Amino acid sequence: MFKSLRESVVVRIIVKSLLLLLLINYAFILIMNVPIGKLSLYNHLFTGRERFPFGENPQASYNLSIYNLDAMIASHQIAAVPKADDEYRVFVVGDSSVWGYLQPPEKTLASMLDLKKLRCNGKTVRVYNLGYPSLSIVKDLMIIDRIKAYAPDLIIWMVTLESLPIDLQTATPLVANNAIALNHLISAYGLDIPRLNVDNRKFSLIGRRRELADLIRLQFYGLMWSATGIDQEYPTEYNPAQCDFEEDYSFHDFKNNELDTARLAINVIEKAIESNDDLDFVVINEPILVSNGVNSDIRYNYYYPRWAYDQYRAWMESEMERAGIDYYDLWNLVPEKHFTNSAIHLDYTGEEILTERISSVLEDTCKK
Amino acid sequence: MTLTHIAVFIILAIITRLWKQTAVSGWVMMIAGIIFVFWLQPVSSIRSLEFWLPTVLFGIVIICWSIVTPPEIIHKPENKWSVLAAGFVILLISGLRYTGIQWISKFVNPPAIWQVLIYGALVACLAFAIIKASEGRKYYAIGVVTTLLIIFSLLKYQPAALEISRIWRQLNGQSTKIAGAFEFTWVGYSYFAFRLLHVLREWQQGRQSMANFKDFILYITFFPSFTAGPIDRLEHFQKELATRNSREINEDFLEGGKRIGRGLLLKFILADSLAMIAINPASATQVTHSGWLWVMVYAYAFRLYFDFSGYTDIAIGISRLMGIRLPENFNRPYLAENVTVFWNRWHMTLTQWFRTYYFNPVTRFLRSREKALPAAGIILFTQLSTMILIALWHGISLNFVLWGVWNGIGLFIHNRWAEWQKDRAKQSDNTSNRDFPSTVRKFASIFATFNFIALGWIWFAIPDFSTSLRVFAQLFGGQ
Repeated sequence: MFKSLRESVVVRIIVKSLLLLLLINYAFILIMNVPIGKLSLYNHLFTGRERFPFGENPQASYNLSIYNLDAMIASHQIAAVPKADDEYRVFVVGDSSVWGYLQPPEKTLASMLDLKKLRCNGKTVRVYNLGYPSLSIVKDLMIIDRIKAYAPDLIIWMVTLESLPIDLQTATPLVANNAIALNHLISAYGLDIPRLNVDNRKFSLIGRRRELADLIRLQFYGLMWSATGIDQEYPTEYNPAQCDFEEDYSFHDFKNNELDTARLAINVIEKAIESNDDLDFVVINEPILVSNGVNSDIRYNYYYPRWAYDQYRAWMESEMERAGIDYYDLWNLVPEKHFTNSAIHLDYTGEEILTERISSVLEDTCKK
Repeated sequence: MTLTHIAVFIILAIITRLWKQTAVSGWVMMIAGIIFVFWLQPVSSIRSLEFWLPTVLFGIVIICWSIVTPPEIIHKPENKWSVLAAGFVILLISGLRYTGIQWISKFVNPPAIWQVLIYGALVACLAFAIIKASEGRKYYAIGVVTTLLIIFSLLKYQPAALEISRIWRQLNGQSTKIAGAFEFTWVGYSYFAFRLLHVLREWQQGRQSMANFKDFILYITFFPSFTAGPIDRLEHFQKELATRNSREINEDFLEGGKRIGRGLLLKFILADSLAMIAINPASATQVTHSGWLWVMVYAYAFRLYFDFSGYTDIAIGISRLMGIRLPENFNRPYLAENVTVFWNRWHMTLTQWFRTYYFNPVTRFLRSREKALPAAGIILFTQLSTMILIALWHGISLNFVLWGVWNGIGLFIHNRWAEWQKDRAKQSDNTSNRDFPSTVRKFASIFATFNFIALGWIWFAIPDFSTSLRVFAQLFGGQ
């Protein structure tokens, strides 16, 4: 029986298939730098997305989190919108509050700013949402480094203290899954961020199977996005942001109520602005929830004890001034009741308040 | 069936095929089949449900076999051993509770073994009573058919399934507040019931089953086709089982491999991808442009076909690895030129089953009545009622009934049209003188048939009437 099997066509097929699979699997490493993510049906067959793909429940949100930067950008409307001669192009970059968690695409900060049809130096201000939900300043730079190719006139960079600790920079999945891009950024901008190891085995066909499947899934969900205009799951109920706290003074593992600024990646902002001197930047300390609940004399919110945030604000102010960066501290602009499920996520009214304020920031910037 | 199930089934199929001694491989197939039926049940939040449902299934199989099998076959020593072996395997599975190996026992969540022993004793007593009662078997047969249909209705009617969940939870001392209709899910019941009803109806019509217990249980619980068909006939299956090693092994492996590969492609790549864009109750209310809605309806039609025919290919492929040829279930249905041909090519074994056990007998009965209905009336009634029964098999709800009515009327209209065409052709001197070239007519027919079927799937995909109507309105430009 086994002798006949050795001679059989079935065994030959199986052996040849396995060899071919091995060959293709490892040959795939050779194209690890080929931007396959740029192949996209968005902006061709499907409408470009108004914000980057992100989602934890694709079946309901018609959106999913992917970590291929090329694919993220290719699916965004920015990849295809030609810049008109009279367009003043503004990109808003930041975390989930910019992306618009729990807000439909037309009610995010960028969309609401865009709807204002502001004018800047005789040009129409067009504003694009290029936020991405995770707290990491390096993640923001990774996006800025790619999207600057789409000719922005101004980048509004929304930051908060939680996105600055150096230890957390590479923990965010978008950064962790882009080791090559991160290491390139570190070299190009001279950042003081630990490099990530690049494991070539991860670039085989089997190693990239999840990424490839996600790229294909993203294309399919493009149809649903075009058909419904939905790109996020909107729960009817959610847990509101925490306003009552334990008597807790901690901020990560910072000791003695002392914010060790050497452990904060503010130089990422400075290096980014310095290296892109052909672009205008406005850095904004984004609004946070300032609680009036239990132990609110100790903590502003879930993220921040008062001591850490106050030190951060003072330090940020002086650092930005020293570096000559346009900086606005809007930390307490939005009242407590206009936050949704987190200390940085705004409701519609909160977005309106912020939009009004940033409109005036834009007008000021244009006058300069 | 998940990919893990499929991989294990393939390995077992290859082992049984390479094992030249058919007697031994038969035992392996039977025992593995029993274990797989337990394995295929989803883990339920109702305590021990995933154990009891297959166990009840095996009880019904023993009772059914006792009814349809002549005493001279029943009393063969090999059958006693087979019944004992099946019972022993079930007892071993229930004994997993006492091994302390959590990861194994959680798959079936068995109850205390004394409960299983009592159940086994009850089934044995009933089987003995049936074997002794040679004349009274027909009443037992009616009883089993009725029981199968009642269970079927309970499973397919959501309020009833919810009530059963509540009762079962109450018996277990579990909270009834969180009971849900989908907790009472019996994987494979439909196909199991169809096979048993086939065997019982054949016996009631005087055709004796000569299958020994091992073949019988293998036929009912044949693991490749247990969850999604196709529905084979016992006689054909037995013949295949007996001759499974007669063909060249390479031929079976090649053919089986091809079918499995095709099935995996259809189910896990095409169908699962199309599922992302296929219309569903949520997306049906969210679409803003009718053009995309058409795409989503078409995606649903193809998703359904690829999903179902993919599973069928996998089942046919795995059984072919074992040397067993199962009947085909799909034959390029979306290339059908009319609704009648479509239903001859879609889920063929199911439509064949309904034709044999419902459509043909009812038609014969209506035609043989003294005051027979007009031919068109008989056709309308039988086609409509057959399609409604097929619809109810999918679920007892208004929308499924409407899906059945949609297809039943489609079949009737096509039947009348075909008759009219035939009459017209007879009257015409030159039948070849048609208005359109045959190729254009053919493509137009395929297009029209596909769209009729695809639009019919809307009733199937969306559970409520008003949303379905809204989808129809939006498709044709309304709001």
